[in-house]
Amino acid sequence: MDKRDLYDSFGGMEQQMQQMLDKMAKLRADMTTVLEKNAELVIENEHLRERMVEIENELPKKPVGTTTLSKSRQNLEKLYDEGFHVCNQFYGKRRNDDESCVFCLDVIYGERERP
Amino acid sequence: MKFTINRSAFIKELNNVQRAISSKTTIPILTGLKLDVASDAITLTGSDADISIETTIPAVDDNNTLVVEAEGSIVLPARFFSEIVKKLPEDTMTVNVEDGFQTQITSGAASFTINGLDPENYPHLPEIDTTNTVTLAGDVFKELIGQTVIAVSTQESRPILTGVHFILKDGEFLAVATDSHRLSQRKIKLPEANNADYDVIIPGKSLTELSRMIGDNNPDVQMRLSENQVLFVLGNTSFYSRLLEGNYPDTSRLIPKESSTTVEIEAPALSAAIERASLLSHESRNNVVRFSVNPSDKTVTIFGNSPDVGEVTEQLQPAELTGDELEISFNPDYMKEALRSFGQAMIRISFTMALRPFTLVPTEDGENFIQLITPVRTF
Amino acid sequence: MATTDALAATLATKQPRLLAAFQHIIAQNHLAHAYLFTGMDGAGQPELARWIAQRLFCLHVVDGQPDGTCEECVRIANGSHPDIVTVAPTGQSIHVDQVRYLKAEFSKSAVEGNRKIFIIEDAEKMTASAANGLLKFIEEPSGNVTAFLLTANKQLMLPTIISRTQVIDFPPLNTAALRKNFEAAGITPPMAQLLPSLTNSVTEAQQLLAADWLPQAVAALWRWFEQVVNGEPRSFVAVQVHLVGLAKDAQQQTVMLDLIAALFQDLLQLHFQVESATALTFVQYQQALTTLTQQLSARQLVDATELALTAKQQLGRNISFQNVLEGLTLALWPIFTNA
Repeated sequence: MDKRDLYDSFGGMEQQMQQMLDKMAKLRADMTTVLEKNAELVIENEHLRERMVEIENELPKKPVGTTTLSKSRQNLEKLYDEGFHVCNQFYGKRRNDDESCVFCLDVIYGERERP
Repeated sequence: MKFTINRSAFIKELNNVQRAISSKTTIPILTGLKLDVASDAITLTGSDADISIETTIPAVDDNNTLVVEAEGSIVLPARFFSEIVKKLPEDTMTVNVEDGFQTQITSGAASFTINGLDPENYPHLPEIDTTNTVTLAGDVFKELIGQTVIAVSTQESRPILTGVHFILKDGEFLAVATDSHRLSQRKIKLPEANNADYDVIIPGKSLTELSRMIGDNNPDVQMRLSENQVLFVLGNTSFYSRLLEGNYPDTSRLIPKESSTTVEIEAPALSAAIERASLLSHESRNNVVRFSVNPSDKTVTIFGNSPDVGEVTEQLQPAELTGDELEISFNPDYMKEALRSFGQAMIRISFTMALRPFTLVPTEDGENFIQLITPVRTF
Repeated sequence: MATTDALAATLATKQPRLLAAFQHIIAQNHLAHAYLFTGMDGAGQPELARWIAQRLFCLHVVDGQPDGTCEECVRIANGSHPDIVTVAPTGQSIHVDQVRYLKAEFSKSAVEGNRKIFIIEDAEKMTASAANGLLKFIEEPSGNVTAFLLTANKQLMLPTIISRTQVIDFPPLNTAALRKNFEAAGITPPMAQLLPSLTNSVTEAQQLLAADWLPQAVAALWRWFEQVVNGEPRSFVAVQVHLVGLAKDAQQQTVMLDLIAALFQDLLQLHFQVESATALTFVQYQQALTTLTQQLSARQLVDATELALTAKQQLGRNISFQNVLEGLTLALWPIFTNA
């Protein structure tokens, strides 16, 4: 192969790889957004089902011993379980390796003084 | 500029300031060491922009045999200069700066002339006023740093968590660090009445370096604040650090006030058991260890289980165990680091629920030192 | 002007209006948190960023100008001021370590005073993920921070960054002034006349002239151009034989495509007598260009120029230089053989 062509093709390949890397990063970010939206919809779905059952059967109270969280907190709990941060520090970011976050736990379970 | 000095006295201080000098720096002049010579003392300064160490060698101290012939300043290439000084033949050496920043270093029959740099280009350390100085005993401060800096974040995603939050208020000194997975908090009541009011975040890296410099001959550490840097005075040496900007999250609400299960046990014993269990957890994909707390037979059992590696179990007899039954999982490395910070003491671990953070405190003093760890969910 | 500041002097020649505007903005305390300085290389972006830094840090500001001699001004000019954080790409992109350094610096307090300046040169060379990582810091910096992002390629900047900065367009330097600059730097007239269409920067001009590359490229392109406009099929072969080998890197490829576009624009200008013949980019071929343009219709010229101008975009889409040129030659073929 002509030396010039060799150089050209390397340059071209490098450029293409860099572009692919960039595309991948963007795809990953987009996918995270989509997963988050998905999580929200699943939670919404769950709520609607619960409500339907409640309405049809007058569902009894939850068993004693489990703390009842407000609906919005349950949403957040579900999102957290799906693997996302729900705290102000890292809001929306994925939790690497499902590692725990003390700020999220406070948001979900902590005592709050609502203004 | 010209002075003569005892070489080993100079080398001692040279080593001190070199701790702050890094060969990889974005500002080239920071690979240099700054020398300021006044009629009664010389000052050495080294910096990597984040931390700066400045130390003064007074003429008044006979051990230095410091004689100043001419005042002035110069910046010299740190590593090169240091190597020269250390290899000079005699007990004393003379440094003489000539025109064009050429610097002559002589000792006995050896003579070097090296290129220096314009000291005007070197960063200026901030002037820090002495009102609102906080004084702490060296060993207490060193212990405080050691206990809190282990919990700082090492990731760049949330830079403010890479620092330790120092709050001074009403004569009480509070230091908190967290990486969102575990938290460490240390409280000290200041020995003397103090009106100082501080709220700063100091990079963990700076505190670690500072801690290494607090020796046995530093009885006291004085802390002073300027707008954007904090200064620690250790004898003749000043240690400056940049601060982190922004608002540190409120951590007081994160520490649970009640518990439903408590375990009292000696830190070293538990630490050894955790270390054994982590042999297994380190080999597997999830670094997780489980506690099974059983009040009825007053035992705590440690479990480690990984399908493709194996399992481990160990039963412990804590000194005290009260409250509800509990199964809880966590990262054993966080537990081990927390336990190590208690030394030989007896500790109390307080749990609420399997998914809520738990705390470790020394039984003798449950208020002033708290380690908190968030558990991990196991399915 | 009561200042010996070198930057102010350069800016007074290159961008007097922008200089005056920023003098006013600073005096009124209306400096924004983040700016995007865009315009051709050499139009004065880094100079203005540094001048603003000097103005903000100078110890003896007189009549709204930094004095250029105090230790703040001197250190800013020679790049050793710790509170002016500069990042420039080494090569094709801004490295991830450099971005990490930037992020860390955004969260730390100033070293000396209470304000910091960030200058990011060739900002379009940050990868998309790097740029995204900085968004939060650019939008809401903690403390007294001003960030300057410099670019010669605004269209390659992420829209999310552009929306968070105040965009300042640096108009290209006046052609006559540029020509004078180039001639003053020792560049001979036919090249000095040609270069303003390629760059505003004397340094870049000299780079292009090194080893006589630019004159060779111009000669080879002219031969190809004549063949194309005369409808000769060997223009296609000329691409591989004479042109492709001349462009050894991305910069040279871009320059050659710019020159092709300039050739067609010269023809257009002659045809519509927009400017006098002496204002042509390729003034050395004035005679031949005049003859050629008389044989062609306005329609042909407009179509051809459009094709030449859009050829550069194909490079950005990673089509090989040879393919771009051959494709252009083939597309131009019907325009000039249907006469």
